[in-house]
Amino acid sequence: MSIGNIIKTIFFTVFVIGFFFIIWVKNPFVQETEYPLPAQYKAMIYSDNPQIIAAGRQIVTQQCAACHSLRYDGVYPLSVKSDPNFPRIIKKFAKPIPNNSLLATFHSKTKGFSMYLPEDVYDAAFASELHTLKTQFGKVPPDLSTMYLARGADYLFNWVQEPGKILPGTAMPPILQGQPKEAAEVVAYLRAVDTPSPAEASRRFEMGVITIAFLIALGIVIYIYRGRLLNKMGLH
Amino acid sequence: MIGKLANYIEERTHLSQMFQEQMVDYKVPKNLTFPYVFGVLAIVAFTIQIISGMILLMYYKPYDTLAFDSVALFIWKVIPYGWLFRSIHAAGANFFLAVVYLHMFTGIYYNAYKKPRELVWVMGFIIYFLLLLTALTGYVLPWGQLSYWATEVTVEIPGAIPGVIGETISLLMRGGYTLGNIALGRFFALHVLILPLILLGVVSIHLFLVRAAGISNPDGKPYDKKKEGVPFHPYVTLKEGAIAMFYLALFFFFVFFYMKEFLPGTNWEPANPLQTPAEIAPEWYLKGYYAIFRSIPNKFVGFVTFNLVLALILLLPWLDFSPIRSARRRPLFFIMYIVFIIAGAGLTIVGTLQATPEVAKVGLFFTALLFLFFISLPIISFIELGYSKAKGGEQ
Repeated sequence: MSIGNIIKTIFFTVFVIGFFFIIWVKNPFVQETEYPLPAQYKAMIYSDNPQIIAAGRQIVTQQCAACHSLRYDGVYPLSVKSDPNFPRIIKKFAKPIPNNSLLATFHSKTKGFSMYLPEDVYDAAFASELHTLKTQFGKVPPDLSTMYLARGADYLFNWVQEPGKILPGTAMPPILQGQPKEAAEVVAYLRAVDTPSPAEASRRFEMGVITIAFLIALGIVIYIYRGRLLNKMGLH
Repeated sequence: MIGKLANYIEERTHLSQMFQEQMVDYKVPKNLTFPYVFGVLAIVAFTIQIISGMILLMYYKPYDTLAFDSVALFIWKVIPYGWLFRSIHAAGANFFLAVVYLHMFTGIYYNAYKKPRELVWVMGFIIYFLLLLTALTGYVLPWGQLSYWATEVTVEIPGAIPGVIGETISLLMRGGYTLGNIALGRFFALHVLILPLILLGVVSIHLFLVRAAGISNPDGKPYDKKKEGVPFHPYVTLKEGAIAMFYLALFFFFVFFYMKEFLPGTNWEPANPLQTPAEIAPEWYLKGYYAIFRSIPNKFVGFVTFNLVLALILLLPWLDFSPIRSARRRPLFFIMYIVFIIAGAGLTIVGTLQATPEVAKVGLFFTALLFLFFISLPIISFIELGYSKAKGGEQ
């Protein structure tokens, strides 16, 4: 290979890797808004501690669930819960779903199962309650089931404390203003809904490492085998 | 027992004879470079998409109130290994398009589209276009905010055609005045059955044409198959097999440890037709065209321009009629090729930025570079035609 070819090869390799790095990993041209999350609360949120999650769940069911639902864990707004039809609809339509999330370790009573009501049933059966919420707030307060994946811990931690600061004019009241500990507990619970349990996460990690190691090893073996075969055939 | 069965099948099918003819006696140039592997990797990526897609199809529900939960709850959390197959399918789509782009850029670099391979290039372009449609129709299926609004933006693009035509196309694509169940059903059918079936057919034609016309040579010179050629198996198959394993290792690294980019946060919120998210942009493989469309102030001109780029890519074999092949032996073409890839990458990155007047200017600059490449091709060809004639018809 001549020097020109080596330079070309290096140029194209760097170009391709750099391009995919920018669009897939880190784009230096886009400024992302950062939300402050102090280290102690960060540790609380990522601790996988069942007690913190339980405390968070209590805050969510008592305060957030005044308006919000969290259907993947069977948490419904207060007005929906006080509907006289609520127990019957849950009994007839809700299904227990096995859950691989952190909740599985927390819901020992139901063995990790959450009661899940399909969205079409929920929307139809509680249309009047949802409509009341809509007229009250301008829109139905969003379901919190996937909020952790959608917004991330930093954003949620700041949002539950001071939503008006992030989105001026929002209908969400500053429920946990000046209560960072409670905010962290709420976020820890929302994370638990969406995150695999530690056992599941470590299994996935092992699976990933084994898969990648196997593929790399197989690739090397094929390459060595090819070299020997070609030597034998006199093609090298 | 197995030997007997193998003999039984062999007697009736002559498989080993076919293998000998198609794989061992098939000779390819010895100097094939690394980028030639992207064709094989595209087949690997296509296979991955089909297998993971089949598994997702078992649990997905194409109905607007159920689609989001079927993906975000059932496939993601409840079905054993559903998370894995969804990750594979989502990352696989991005990797597939990436590999196809690299395959196309390799073809342009080595001028693999020239006679007798024009039809290979045309079929490849059709595959690329169908793939973009497949990716677009699949993107709406999770029914998240980003799916919904990115699709809404895409179906509004034909609306740039003035008069009733643009409106009608938009209306047909959307299946009504808002995106809803009808669009979801149509996109679902297109994504899981119609487009993949067509793709399978077109890919086979593409492969057949590659075999019929013979593979191109990195040096761009005609080669003596008997003297310089090496048997496709095992010389190339094992090399590309090994590289495919390393490719899969990289792919699974993303699947297991870095899905943030392929399952973006905005798409974890259910689609809400009444609330527009802050940032809407198509996926990265469409961002180049989107950046062209967005940079040009007049919508119709923008629409025509990015379609013109697509058409010019299709017409490459006829734009570049120089008898000399491969950028290795064409210094002028090599310079313009660098301009071309910088323009393409630049436009894609411009597409990721917020639309401001300054960004639009940068987008216009890269669009101009892109057209410079296409305009320069016939000029370079004329120069090289004269050079080739002076040298006595050198190829």
